[in-house]
Amino acid sequence: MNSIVQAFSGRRAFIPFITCGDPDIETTEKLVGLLAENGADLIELGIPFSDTTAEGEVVQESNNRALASGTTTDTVFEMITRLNNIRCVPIMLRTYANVVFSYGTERFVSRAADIGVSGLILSDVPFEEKDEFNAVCDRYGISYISSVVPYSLDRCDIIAAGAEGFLYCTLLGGDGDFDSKVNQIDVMVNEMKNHVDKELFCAVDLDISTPQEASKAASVADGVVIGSAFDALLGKYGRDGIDEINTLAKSFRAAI
Amino acid sequence: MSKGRFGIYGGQYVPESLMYALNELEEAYGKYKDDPDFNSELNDLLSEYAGRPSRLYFAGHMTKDLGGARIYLKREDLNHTGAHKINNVLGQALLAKRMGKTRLIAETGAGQHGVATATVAALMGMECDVYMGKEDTQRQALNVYKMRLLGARVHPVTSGTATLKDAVNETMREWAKRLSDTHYCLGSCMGPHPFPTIVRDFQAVISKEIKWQMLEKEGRLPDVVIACVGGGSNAIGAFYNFIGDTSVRLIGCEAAGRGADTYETAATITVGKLGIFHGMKSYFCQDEYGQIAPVYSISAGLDYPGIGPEHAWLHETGRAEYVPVTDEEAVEAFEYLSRVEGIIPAIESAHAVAYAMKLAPAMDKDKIIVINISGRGDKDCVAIARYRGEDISE
Repeated sequence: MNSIVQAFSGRRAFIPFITCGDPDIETTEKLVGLLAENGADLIELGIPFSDTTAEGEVVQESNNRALASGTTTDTVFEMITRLNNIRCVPIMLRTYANVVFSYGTERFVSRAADIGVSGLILSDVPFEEKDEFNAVCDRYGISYISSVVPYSLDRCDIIAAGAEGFLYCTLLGGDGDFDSKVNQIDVMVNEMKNHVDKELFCAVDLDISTPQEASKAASVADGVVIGSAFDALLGKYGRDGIDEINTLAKSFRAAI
Repeated sequence: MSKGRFGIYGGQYVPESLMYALNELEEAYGKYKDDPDFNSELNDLLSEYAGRPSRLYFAGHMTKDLGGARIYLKREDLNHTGAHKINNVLGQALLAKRMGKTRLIAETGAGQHGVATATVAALMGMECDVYMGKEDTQRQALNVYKMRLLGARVHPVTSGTATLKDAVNETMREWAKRLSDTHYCLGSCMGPHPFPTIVRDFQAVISKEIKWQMLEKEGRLPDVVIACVGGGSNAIGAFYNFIGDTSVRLIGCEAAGRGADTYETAATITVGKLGIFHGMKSYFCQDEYGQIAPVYSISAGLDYPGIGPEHAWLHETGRAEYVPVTDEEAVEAFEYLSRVEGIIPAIESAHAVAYAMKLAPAMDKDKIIVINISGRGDKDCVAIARYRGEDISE
């Protein structure tokens, strides 16, 4: 069993996301340790990109701050290397195709594997384009994670069959109250799971901002991603956000 | 290799949330592109509303003055709304209507594509939202007013460099939020499949007309076709029907800004490298970590860090050549064509004129150059005056 799947093996997984280098890479390094201590089962780290077309405003601004602080693919890799002595939870990276491609896909993936990264998700690579990256990840034992949205349901058979690690379930921005979003996710998760014989873990990212929301989301999925709440605190408090993030992480863990 | 490739270029590098919309669009385009009713309606609009065919004008004074090849101007500037953009918008809007969409959204740089989209939305009774970099809304205030006059909402984009690439980012985000009633009317032969193919097909009318007009006037094909390239829609339109005619040289003129050897440039093929952005694999101006570089050109329409995937392919195969043209050269050509032929070209098109001015004198008098005048230059007069140190207000 690879380490990503392990994250889902006991309880419902708490998966915090933070953008690396916001406000600086030292803060990210501290936060990863804190999130692990506070019960994160898998930590999703964003490598910043100049043009985050798939992200909302909070994460966009976090990416901008991270780039302004001089964060690069190499500084992120160096930070993860330093963390290897202390952390005990798996790490996955989220970024955009060009960050990986410009580094050299093979070079990027082999370096990530070397320093113990377990998974990779690319915000602008849909199922149809994943082979280019997935094939390399396979060779180095990194899980290439696919995303699904309700509109994906007409392709759910191929996406579910090709899923590795877990499926990242999300909605389009905008409409509906939180309960109706949870219902949509519920339908989607069931549909995806029905399409494969193997065990398929589904994590949900609903731009969750409160423990109450996290608890509702946890009721319909195997894991809950906290996709922007921590970046929002970094935006508000900068380096001084560590205490707030610590408190919020504890309450999310309890709720999930 | 996935769908929508030109060699290794192109593809569909978009968030999962957009795949449904791209598949829906591809299916609809496949259904209607050869449909006689669809085409007859489109041709009728191109002719009666947009004013096609556009003229192929023999530039006698320019030819004489430069003393070399015979120069023809393809007058896309004479189309309704003043540029080639309307060709594509009419096609996409008709397609969107067939798909049951009631709202068009679009990105715009100089504002020409935004104005064309707002125009056709007004014509067809569709809702319209246009995303435009805040910096460009200030550079092109007149076009912002026109779009609002035509009933569109204009959203200034403040993220990133607040120019064309950021407008594309914002329009993609908006599309993902509201797919059900909305079509993204993308303005250039770029982005994820099927856009590069759809936009090229709707712009290919330019080279189709050049071909028969040239046969009618000269009884033969031109030796050179020159067009400016940002994303590359007017160029791909002017090139497409000549790709198989290998005797015709195809030359795309990129915006070099203050020079391709400076940081203030948008000459993608000249200085960019292979990458993945805005849905496609192609060449992009970027740093060593793949961060998209801020680009610069005096022309808001060419101020884009990438190039359409079919151009990347034509470049790789050597079928087309891509050359950098600086702000200074373009401004001189803008003034030259105005003075010599009484035609004020868009500053974008002036990049193509500038290269023709270098090329023509070195060619024999029996050779023929066609320059695609992709748009008219009224919108640029204030900025060019300012470039020359003269402050005029509208």
